[in-house]
Formats: sequence, C-alpha cells, structure tokens
Amino acid sequence: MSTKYADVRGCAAYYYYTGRTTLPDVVPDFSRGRKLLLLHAAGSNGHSWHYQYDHLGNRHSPIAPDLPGHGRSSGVEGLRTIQDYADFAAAFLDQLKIDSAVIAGRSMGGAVAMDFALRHPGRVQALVLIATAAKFNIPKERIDGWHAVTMGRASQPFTNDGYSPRTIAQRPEVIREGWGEQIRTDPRVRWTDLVACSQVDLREQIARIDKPTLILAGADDVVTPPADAEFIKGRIKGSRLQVFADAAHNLTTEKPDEANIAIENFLAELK
Amino acid sequence: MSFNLSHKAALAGVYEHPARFAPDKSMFQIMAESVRGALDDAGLTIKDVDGVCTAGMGMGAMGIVGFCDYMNLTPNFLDGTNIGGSSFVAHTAHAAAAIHAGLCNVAVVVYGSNAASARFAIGTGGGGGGGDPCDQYEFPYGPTTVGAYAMIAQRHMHDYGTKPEQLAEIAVTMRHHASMNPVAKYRDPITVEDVLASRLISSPLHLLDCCIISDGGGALVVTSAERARDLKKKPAYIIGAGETARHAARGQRDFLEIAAHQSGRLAFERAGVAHKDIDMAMIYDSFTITVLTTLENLGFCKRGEGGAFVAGGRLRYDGELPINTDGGGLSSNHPGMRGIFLVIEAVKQLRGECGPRQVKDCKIALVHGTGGALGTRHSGATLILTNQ
Repeated sequence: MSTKYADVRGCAAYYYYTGRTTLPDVVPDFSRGRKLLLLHAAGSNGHSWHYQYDHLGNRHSPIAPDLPGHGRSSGVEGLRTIQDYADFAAAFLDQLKIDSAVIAGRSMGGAVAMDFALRHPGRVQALVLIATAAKFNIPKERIDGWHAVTMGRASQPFTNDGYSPRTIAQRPEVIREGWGEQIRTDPRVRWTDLVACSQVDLREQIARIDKPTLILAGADDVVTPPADAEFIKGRIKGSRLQVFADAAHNLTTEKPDEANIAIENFLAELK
Repeated sequence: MSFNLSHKAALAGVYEHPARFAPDKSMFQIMAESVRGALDDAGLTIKDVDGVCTAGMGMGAMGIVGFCDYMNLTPNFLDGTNIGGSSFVAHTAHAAAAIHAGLCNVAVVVYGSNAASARFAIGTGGGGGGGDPCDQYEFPYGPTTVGAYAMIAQRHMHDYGTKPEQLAEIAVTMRHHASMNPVAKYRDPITVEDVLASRLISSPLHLLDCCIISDGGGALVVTSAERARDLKKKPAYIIGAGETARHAARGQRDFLEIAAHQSGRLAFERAGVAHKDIDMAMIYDSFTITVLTTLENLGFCKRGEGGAFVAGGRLRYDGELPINTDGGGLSSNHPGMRGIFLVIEAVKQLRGECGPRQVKDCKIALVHGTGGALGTRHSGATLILTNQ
C-alpha cells in the first residue's frame, strides 16, 4: 500500500493506492488491470478499504481517496451534497489523469458512484455498489444525535449497528477497527454526510444507468437493508446482486475475502 | 529608565495562514508559507530578513536554528523566547527593541503548527512543562490546562457571583465574529443556551467555553517606523509593551491577579494612552474565563465586575470594546499557541482590512497574550499599537 496527496480544487486529497511510490506531483502508475476508484462511506476514509486494495492490488489498480474533510485530506468540512462528492471524484480522476475507471462505493460512496455514473457516464467502465441505497432511510434521531455531538451535548456514539450478530459475537476486533476509523474524521463531517445522504433520492434516475453493475449487500444490514439492494437491482438493467450471510453494513471488513472474490470475478468478466 | 520605544518600530506585514486542518503540511512548511505571506504583504523579500523570532510546541529547544536551516537564513538577531502562547506578542516588542538598538533591520515573527492533524492533546493533556523543578509539586496531582483555568473560573464565581451565562456570552460573541471570517473553523452561530448545554469539560467550563484545536500559523514583519512608511501597507506602530510572569509566589499568590495586571499597566504607561483610547482589543481566549479575567486585570473594568462587563454585546465588533474580531481561539483557530493571531488581527483592524467585521475608526488597538495556564505558572505580554 502506498499513499499520496493530490491537489484537487484546493483540497489536498490523500489517497491510498498500490504499486510504486513517485515523487510529489508525479502521478503513480495505474496501468495494472482495471483502474478501480473506491469511494468510502459517510464519516469514513479511504483506509476503510484496506482489505480490498491490498487484495485487488495484485491484479488491478485500486485507488481509495479520503474525501474532503475526511481522514488525512485537508479541510475541516465535508461537502454538502452527494453531487458535490461526485464532482469531487471527477476532479480527482482528472488530477490523476484517469479518463475512466470502475467506480465502487460503499453506503454514501455507493450513492456518489451512482450519481457519478448518471452525470459522467463516459468515465464509468462499471459500477460496484456495496451496502448502499438509491434513497437512504436514516432515522432523524441518528442525524440529530450526531448534531448533538457537534454541539458538545453528547459524546461520540460507538455502536454495533453496522455489524452482523455473528461479527459482534465472534470478531470484536473488526468493530474496534471500525471505531478507530470513525475517530479519524471530525464528527461534524459525519453529521453533514448523513444530512447529504438523507437528501439524495436516485430511485427514478438510476434506471438510466447502463453500465455493468455488481451490487453487494449484507443479509443482516439494518442501515441499508437487502431490500435497498433488491430495489437497485430491479432498476439497473443487467445488474447482479450478491447477498452475504452473517454480514451487515460493513460487509467489506466483516467478509473481506468473500467481497474481494466477488469484485475480482466481476472485474475479470468485464469486456 | 524611561521607555523610549514608542513609534520607533512598526508592523509592516502580517499573514494568517488560512489552513485549519492541513495534514499534508509540516510545521516548518506552514511557517515558511506564513513568512512568505507576511513578506508579500509588506512588499519585502526573504533577502531583506535579518532577524528571526519564533517558538513552538512542535519544535525542539533549538527549533529556531532548525527553522533558519529550513529557510536558509543566517540572521543577525534571533529570539527563541518561549513563554507559551504569548511568545509572539513578546517577540514583537523584542524585535522592535532590537531594531531600535540597531541589532537588525527587518525581523520576522513566525509560528506554525499542525496541532489538529498531529492530534496534540492541548487542553486536556498534561499542562506545559513537566521537566522543571517546580513541576514536582503539581504534576503528581495530575493537573491539566483546562483544570487550571477552571479553578480560576470557580474562584471568580465564588468570590464575585459570576454566572456561567456571563462566560457563555463571550463564546457567543466570538462565534458571531467568526461567522464573518470566511476561514474560521466554526462559523455557525451559537447561543448562550448552546454553551450551557454543551458538556462540562472541567467544572464550570463547558466544551464551548474552551478554545478549539486547529492547524495553522502566521507571521509578522517588524521593521523601523521610518522604513515601514515606505512599504506597501500602512504601518501599525508599536507604542507600548509589557511582559511578565506569574507563579505560585511561595504560596502567597492571589489567583485572580494574573500577569496582565503588571504587563498591561506597563504597556499603558509606556504608550501614554488611557483605557478609553483603546478602539479594539485582542485578548487571548484559550477559555472564556481567560478573557474575563484579563479584561479585569488590564483595568478595563474593576475586579469582580467582569461578568457584568462582558454582557450586553459590549465585546461585539460594533460594541463599546470590540474583542477578538476574528472569532478568536474559541471559534476561528487555535493551533496550540495563539499569540501571533492576536497581533495579525489587530494590525488588520488598524489598516481597515477586516470587511464586515471591521471596527469603525479603529486607531489604537491593544493586544494581550497569555502563555501557560492561569491558576498556575503563566506569562503575560501586552502590546499597544496605533496607525497614527
């Protein structure tokens, strides 16, 4: 794994990739296999994809940025809308001299990927949509709860909500790692991300997407339940859905091997 | 010996680094960018610089020499005085004296830090120091910076009936100012209720009574008054200065008499101005109580009357005594040591460069920095500046 900064519209955007390091301002080599842009979830960061880029990097060129205000990218605020994040992703690819790529996203990142595919179709080779929804159903209390954190009324919640009962019972280290990722981003950014997610509705538009699409969902996901994935499958013609048992919203860390194999097979089949 | 530094030196260039979270930059990089900004502001170049003043949390004891290496500077005057967050206020006076004495011609005062992205525990971690003999009597009891300031707030409330609402008003005013500063870290307005509803960090100080943690930096260019008059921007003349330290005083210490009491008196005497002449003040706001106690000790109000004094919008940019018009450490930025920003904003106010938060007819500004922690060992440095 290597890391680097790219100047994207004044934001020093940190990103994880595989392969050789290069001097500052020299774009690394992304010629191995498919270029795969990995877009993280609300309040998360590019490192949350480490199981994916470590594995997929053997044959492909995964690139996982920290979105503005997240992780090690500069700025104290996130962007306000899913569209803004999609535009950021386009500018980020410009900076890396990448015309088109396979766009993968988890949760908020999945919505960003879909919006990106709708507005920049020429730059999308295929989509991988993980634990995401065309319209998020985020309880108001959850959004208000994070707002209370930003106002100093509450301390950050560290919950098991994004994990399956099996993960909770047998792999607490996965959850601890998730909490470790959570504290790498200001709670205010997570709050505005959740607001952005709650405002986006792509249910109508995604029928226009005509790219090869792989949808991954966790059977135990209560944040974006499998029904959300079923809905996307019904709207995007030719899309394929894989539901993982004993996995939930964080299926990429709960079931990394299974998710990696699914993505790898999907990439191998692309023409 | 009488003070003869009034109008001898001036601030010719200032620059506040806009970064609030810059994990891509090193401390020296932020400092170098700040120096370039301040020199551009003055219309000078790095070749003009023959004096360097700096101190920092992230640098070693000889960090100033390392910074000269980084910048490839071989100055004739160095001041690495580190008395905490007030250091840069003191540096400004030291640089003025050095220039007047002929030790150098153009001095830069600079600070930079990546406190936020490097995750320094500034307020809730151990207080500054730790290696000095006197620390052995306090450190075993686990004092924190916020705890020391909270003790001052408790004492003030106990002695004078000061209310949490009155302290909260200071935070609300700073946030209002920050809302007019596009680079401030926190710009959404807050209310007194918001401050009181935020969780207690160290009783009676709530989260919103405490300064934020950010990355950032800034730089000042000090030169002779004569030279400053020929440069790009209108000079801000140094007319008065004072500095001192406060400590346990062999157990005889009066907690509510802070360093500002002495440094402020000296600065006023030396400048030959009165409190009513001050058009705006930049007061180190590590915590809301810092502002209240400092205003009392500088003599803007009587001791014990600070609670009433800060109420009713008096400290707003359009009030009777505008304070911290940039949003202060409570809302704009606080990269560990904030003194440099106090001077920068005061100079911008004197030049009339502050846009919507500009104080009308601003001719004389006071700057007071506190370093260390009130309630234990701390320093105070006061400056009085004018554009006249």
